[in-house]
Amino acid sequence: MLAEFGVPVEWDGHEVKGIRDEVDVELLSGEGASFAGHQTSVLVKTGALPNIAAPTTILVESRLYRVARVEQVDDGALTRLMCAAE
Amino acid sequence: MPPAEASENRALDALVNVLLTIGAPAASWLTVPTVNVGIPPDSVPSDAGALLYVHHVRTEAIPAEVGRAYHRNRAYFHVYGFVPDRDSGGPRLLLNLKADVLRAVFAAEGSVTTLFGQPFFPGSFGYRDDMISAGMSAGVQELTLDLELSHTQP
Repeated sequence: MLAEFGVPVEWDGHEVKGIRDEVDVELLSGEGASFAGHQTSVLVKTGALPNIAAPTTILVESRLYRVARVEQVDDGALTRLMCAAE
Repeated sequence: MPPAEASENRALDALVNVLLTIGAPAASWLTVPTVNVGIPPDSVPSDAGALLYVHHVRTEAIPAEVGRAYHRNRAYFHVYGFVPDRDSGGPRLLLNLKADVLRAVFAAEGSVTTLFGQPFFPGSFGYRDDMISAGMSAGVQELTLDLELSHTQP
């Protein structure tokens, strides 16, 4: 999956393949108001970017992103990096 | 001549003008936000610096006092603030943005009182972590304004 759909992800001298998703999601709602945010996530193989932790920056297809959160998903084989455009 | 706009709209316009004073000159303020009216249909940009969105939330009637025959309403406004969460510094920057909002509101007490007979009163402020995954810290500051309604310009 990563080899087929992945794009180059660079961090701290490592270059791996990751799947980037960009979605607009309603994140914040209040009285008479709701706000959407642009969520960017990059899915990589767990351990491919050793000890990566927020806050840090990664390069995805030559574009710089700020990593806001690092979370393992499903059985832990994959790690999702929640990012924001830098 | 058309009638005056709703009192809440006039108050909202005044509040926007108050908020537009933030950031000029930059050295006198902690933040330089972009002020927006209403709720954006699109995503809030995470790379646009400090942002403010202001909107009218509701209006509640204030009971008349015995022997007084006037109509008074309390209009509630919410000011949403968004700041980039670089290096996890978002919450601190957000509080500085909130402080700038209050500073502007307090500085405008005289001019707002001239217009409406009362200044804006700050209510609660709440931090919201909902936008963290989009790279932002957010918070909402409540402001109220008591309006004595005229029969011709409610």
